[in-house]
Amino acid sequence: MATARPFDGLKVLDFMWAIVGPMTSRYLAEHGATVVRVDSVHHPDPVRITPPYLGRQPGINRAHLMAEANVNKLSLGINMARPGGVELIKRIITTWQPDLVCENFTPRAMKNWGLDYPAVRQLKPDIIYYSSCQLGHGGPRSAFAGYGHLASAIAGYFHLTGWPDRGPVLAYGALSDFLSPAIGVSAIVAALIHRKYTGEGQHIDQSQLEVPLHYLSPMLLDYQVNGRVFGRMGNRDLRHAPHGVFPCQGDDRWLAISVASNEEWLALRQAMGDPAWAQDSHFDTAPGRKQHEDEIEERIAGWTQDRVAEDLMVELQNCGVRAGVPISCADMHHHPHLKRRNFFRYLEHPEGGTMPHLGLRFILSKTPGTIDRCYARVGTDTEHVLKDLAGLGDDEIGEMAAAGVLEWS
Amino acid sequence: LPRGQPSPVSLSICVALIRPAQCQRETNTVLPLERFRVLDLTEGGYNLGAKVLADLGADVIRIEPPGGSPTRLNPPFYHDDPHPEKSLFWFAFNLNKRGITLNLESADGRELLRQLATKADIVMESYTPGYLEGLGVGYPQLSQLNPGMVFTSVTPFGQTGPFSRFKATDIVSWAEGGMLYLSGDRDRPPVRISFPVSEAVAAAQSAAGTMHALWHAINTGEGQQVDVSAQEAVLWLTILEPPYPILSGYHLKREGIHRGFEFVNWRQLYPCQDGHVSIYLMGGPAGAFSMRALVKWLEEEGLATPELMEKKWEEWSPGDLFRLGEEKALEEIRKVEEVTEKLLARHTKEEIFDRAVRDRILVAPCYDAADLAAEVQLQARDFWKEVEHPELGGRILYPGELVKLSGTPIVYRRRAPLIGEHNQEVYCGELGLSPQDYSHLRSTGAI
Repeated sequence: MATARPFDGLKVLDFMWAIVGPMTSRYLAEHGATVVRVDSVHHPDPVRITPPYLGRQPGINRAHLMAEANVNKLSLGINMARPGGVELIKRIITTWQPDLVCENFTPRAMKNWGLDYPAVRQLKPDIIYYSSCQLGHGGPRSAFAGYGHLASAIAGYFHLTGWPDRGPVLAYGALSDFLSPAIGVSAIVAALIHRKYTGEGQHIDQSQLEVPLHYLSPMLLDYQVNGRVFGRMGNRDLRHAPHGVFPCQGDDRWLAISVASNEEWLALRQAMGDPAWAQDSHFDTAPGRKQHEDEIEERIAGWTQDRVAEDLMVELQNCGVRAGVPISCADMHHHPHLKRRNFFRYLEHPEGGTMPHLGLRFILSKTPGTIDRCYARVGTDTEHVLKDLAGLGDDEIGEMAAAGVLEWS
Repeated sequence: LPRGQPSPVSLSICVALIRPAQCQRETNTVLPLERFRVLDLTEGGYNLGAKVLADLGADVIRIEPPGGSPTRLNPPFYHDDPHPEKSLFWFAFNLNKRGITLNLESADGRELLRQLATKADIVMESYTPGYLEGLGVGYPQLSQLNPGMVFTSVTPFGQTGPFSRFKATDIVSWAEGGMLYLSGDRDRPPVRISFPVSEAVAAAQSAAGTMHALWHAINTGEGQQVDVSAQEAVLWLTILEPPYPILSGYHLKREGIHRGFEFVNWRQLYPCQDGHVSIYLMGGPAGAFSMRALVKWLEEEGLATPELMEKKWEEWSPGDLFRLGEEKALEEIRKVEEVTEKLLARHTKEEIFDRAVRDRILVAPCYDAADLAAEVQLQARDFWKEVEHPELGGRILYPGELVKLSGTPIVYRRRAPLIGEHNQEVYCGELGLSPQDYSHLRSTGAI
């Protein structure tokens, strides 16, 4: 038998969809929980049809993102719009008695189904019920529907990205979707701990605007205290200089260099062969270097432009200078460090071929998470869930399948 | 800053201070992590990890070198005064913690750490791998003393691998995590977010990993080490991207204000009357409802073309456009962008946000710090919380509850600690040092 994992025996009924929700319950699925993902063909999760696809072939079972977000989960295919769909869910809650119900719809969706926290609590009084939506429950803009590129905009991330002489640009990706799950799962485990000691369940209400704001807390205090509206600075830093992204050999190859102390400046000087321009005593202190930042950056760029970014990164790090290559997606897959850490994982896909997955977000030394089951088709585990977990009979399952309550893709 | 002289405290007062939540909270609820003690040896943005645990109720003791942590030098500062007791960065990420000083470079200091570790449930640290172990106070040694302890290490590149001892600042982690390459305009170098967040991003993962290991320790008595790499934490922000070379062979590059899936590429950011907004311009199951509402708005303003009014937005998903091929897909998208740009330029951020909520349009303002302070939704949810700073003669408004927990709401129990603020409370009151030993250790620089 495998080593006990942290969430062995934990039962999760997962209504999460898109990215932010499923990425939260994925932690639990990686670490032993039985996570039953409620999924649908008639009302497909939008990420089911989001590129890229396995083998470049679009298809409801073939989207990478759907597989990525739902690793290790069981798929239960239900058309919630059909009569009997909601009743079936209630029955599963009553008989299976999940520890956690989680959802990330706009606030009205679960309520319309009669499956909001007060309703589920009737069926299981100590339920932990996790909700996450763009702007949180309650308040005049609570019904706002959006995705990560919208909550990230509201949270200030795009305003902060770009150059002082230009408008904002996107910080890549649906950023807020990826900033919320770690906090969400921390709150879920805290609620499990609280239940263990007190017997009490509770409702967790997460706003995908409020969580990302916590990463920017010092900047928000700066406004409250000093009235300063933080703006775009390109790649410069409030304190450190030089601090930038410098061109290297090849097309669109760069190296980020960040000098965080006078010792590191000396180390960089040595690495550059201590050229005459760098010996200027004005550059001995950070304020002095900041004052001459344009000149220093130009000089460093002249030195880096004929160098290979990856080699120079290692050379500088070995001298104690902080440097990093802005890696592309192609670079990631043969990055020597990520490779050694076995970061990327590959799972057999039920329609043939191999689906790449991102690895663990943290490694527990004795009970590491596992990534061992590719998530693809709607309803793969419907029979198992209904029979073995919820105790339904074959006849009932057959009737619901015939009535279109159950779905398979 | 004026600092109160530590006064002799009786044991009973100390007991009250150990569990401040119980005596200061208005209700009798017990916070989820109230029975757990955390030693926080992290620096910089990694401080957010133990702050999450402190918010959830843990007794977090932030351990600094004598004289104060280097994190106290992080800007911005209260009234722009670069004083170690006035760093807003320190305030934000050390709220709800207590603070003591301890010199890891001295044998006495390390002995104190060992004693503290036997009474702690969790240690969090961000030193270069091998450093603490070399001093005899790393995971191998402390877990001998306290096998049930969770020991969380959060560093730029994690505990193993050829880069594990390399150093980083925000921009290095942003680069090696793949975010940097994908952000910015094509005619300039890749660009980071101007406020550093990568350490805080890794810190959030360190909180999550610690919670996983803590749950396991509660149930089995088995402690373990949690390994968090900032590079991997940042890589997890790019999840749409890494599969491209394997699944499609497509080479993604930074796209400035545009966003897309391979050649299905649309403009996401637009100027409006008083700033910028971000809009999702795709149909299909993710956006058809929004596109219909947008076209209705365009129609009201005389900007809708017959083609847009008749379009079946259900069949305008990224996948549908992908099937049209590059030229046709882009032609379709540009027509929508053209009128959208005109519409948005006529309105303010607030008008657009109100309309988005009312009509379910997938558009939102690009806020700055001032906009956020005025945002009605945050106010209605009582997001901003006042924290008393007696030394500064006033209160500061902080971002409030990380999440709303109905049974055990997060409260701010104390501002971030001053340098050595809880030395006497912890060393004498809780560790049981005699006054003589305490002053001896102070004079030798161990504390």
